[in-house]
Amino acid sequence: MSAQKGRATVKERAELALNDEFLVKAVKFTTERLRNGKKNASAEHGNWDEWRERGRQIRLHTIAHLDYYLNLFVENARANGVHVHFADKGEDAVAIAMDIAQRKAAKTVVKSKSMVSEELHLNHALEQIGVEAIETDLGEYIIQLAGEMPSHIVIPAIHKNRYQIADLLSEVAGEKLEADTTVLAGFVRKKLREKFLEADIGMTGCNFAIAETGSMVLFENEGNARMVTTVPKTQITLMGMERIIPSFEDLEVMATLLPRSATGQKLTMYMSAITGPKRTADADGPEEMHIIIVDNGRSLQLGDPEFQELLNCIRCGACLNACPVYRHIGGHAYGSTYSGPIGAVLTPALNKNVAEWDDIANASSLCGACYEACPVKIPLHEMLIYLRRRKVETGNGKAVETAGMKGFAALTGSSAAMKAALAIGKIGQRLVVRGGEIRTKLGPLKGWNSYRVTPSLPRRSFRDRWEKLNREVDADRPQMAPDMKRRMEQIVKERGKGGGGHGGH
Amino acid sequence: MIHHYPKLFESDPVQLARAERLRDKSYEFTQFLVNVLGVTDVGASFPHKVTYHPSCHGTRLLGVKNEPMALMSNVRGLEFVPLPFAEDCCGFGGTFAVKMADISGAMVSEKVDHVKETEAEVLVGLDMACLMNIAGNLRYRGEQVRVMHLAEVLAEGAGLA
Ligand code: SF4
Repeated sequence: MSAQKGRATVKERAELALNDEFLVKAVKFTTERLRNGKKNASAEHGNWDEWRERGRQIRLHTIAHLDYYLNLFVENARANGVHVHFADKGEDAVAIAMDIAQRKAAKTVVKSKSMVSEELHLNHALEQIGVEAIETDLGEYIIQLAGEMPSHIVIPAIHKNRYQIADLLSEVAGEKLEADTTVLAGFVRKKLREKFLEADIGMTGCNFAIAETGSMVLFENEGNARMVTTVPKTQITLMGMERIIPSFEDLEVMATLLPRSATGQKLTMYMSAITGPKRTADADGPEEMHIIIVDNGRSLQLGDPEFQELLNCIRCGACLNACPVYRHIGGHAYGSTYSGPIGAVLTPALNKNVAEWDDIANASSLCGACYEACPVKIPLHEMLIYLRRRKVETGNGKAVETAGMKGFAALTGSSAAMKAALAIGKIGQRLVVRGGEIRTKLGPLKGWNSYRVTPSLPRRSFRDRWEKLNREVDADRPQMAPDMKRRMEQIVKERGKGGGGHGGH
Repeated sequence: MIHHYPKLFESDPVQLARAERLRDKSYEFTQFLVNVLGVTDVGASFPHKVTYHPSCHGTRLLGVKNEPMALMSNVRGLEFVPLPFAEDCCGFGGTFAVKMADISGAMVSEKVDHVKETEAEVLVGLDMACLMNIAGNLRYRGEQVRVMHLAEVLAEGAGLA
């Protein structure tokens, strides 16, 4: 199913979602809940914008010195007894994980909280060598059963309602389960408990990796990640190379921003920091611990002034929940592991080959809700424009559009040309205007007029009236009062201080 | 948009200076009235039920937040009803409305659902593109809600139009 979706165009995938009433309803329901939660939690925090700026500064600083902090992390992790591996490409990471599994003669792997493993399509690879990979987050478990990709970076099964989930789980149970959240979660918990006990390897992602101690930190609500990291004898952590933060002090800021932005919680139910394998005095924990640090296109962003900030992302999902496009089409329409505004930018950015980019950067109205929601102020709405520009500049744009834009530039660049075009337009529109409106669905108006009517050009436009208006205004133009001038200067000064974003608005 | 011009001329100091001068003297309508002229009451009266769509670029990029409310709250007889999900984009987005017509259509349809929920007689906004978009869907659905720029409300309410 996911492979099929991968081949379709963005528009086709979006259409599929738009026509799926259950999906749209489920996505709206949960994103609204999350976004309200975030709104309340950040308002209650009282100093949200200041902390956002703090978070942004920490991320900017870390990424600017990523080589240093990454080295420090690796040194400390190794000193703690962790085996650290580097994977340049996705395939490399997969090969490393398979190698560990084979060496351990593993039959089952229990997994939790790893978008990176989704990015690598690791489950599939493990299955091919006969290793069963079991997702243990409730949402991940559900989409694994359904054979789908996650449709949200925090709530992978956001597109399913509880009746659909009950149907899926009933199949596994061999009996009809009630569509009640407690019943369903209870069933999964029981089912997974057996798997935890028999698993040879536990595999997780990582929310933050602390350079000063070599620890990796996980935020979760279900307690399963803690099971995954303590029960099996071998533990593998997959982490994107940008997950680093310098110290536990910085974690305080991140722990303030992440749960509030993701779900509106002050803190998740569990927050675990894992520093190396089990020591003799420890009651539990893995005997062997591996960390695979994955690049897979991330380092391409380093030194790119337009996209480096992408590496600041803490994968909270707030931009998805705020996005009015995501709200209507859900995650699968984005066609890759990462969906929503962050996915629309990250997916192409990780892939340097512009010719392979699909149209996803066009599936945005550039409303800026993502930027406003982002706890580390990543200017995604601007990055979407950079993506569009790069596509055109490398000759991968659409010819019709380029011609259209050239025409538009010619018209708006010359007052006379504009005037002439409007005059022609006024005559031409007589063919289609009825009662001041244009309703035809022919030609370029098809898309617009399938949902709207188009207003006709007015008989007298502002341009026609301007000459007279200008004369009237000029006739009695008073000197600007000094206090007014002062206010204007003050406003201009304030404008400079946006903080975040590249646009300088 | 004018506030983005300097970005386009970054490599051309002469044009950059011109673009910055243009930016510095360009204001959004309500910001100019309220913050520069210091006017919040134009003496208008507009006895209608009104709701307001805060456009994305106005609020998020230009920082227009309280100014329109300050002006509307001083219009006599104006009954203000808040728009549910007001901050959600109306779906215009320039070429987006044409290229991704179905997504944009779903967005504007939902916006109009929310406008209808308020039972307002007039929808007010500050961005002509959003207003054209929303009005287009309202007319398409045969709805009678008037769609006006706040300047039109003030002008009509003060007997200027
Ligand atoms: S881009 Fe920002 S809002 Fe979106 S997931 Fe990343 S950190 Fe969260």
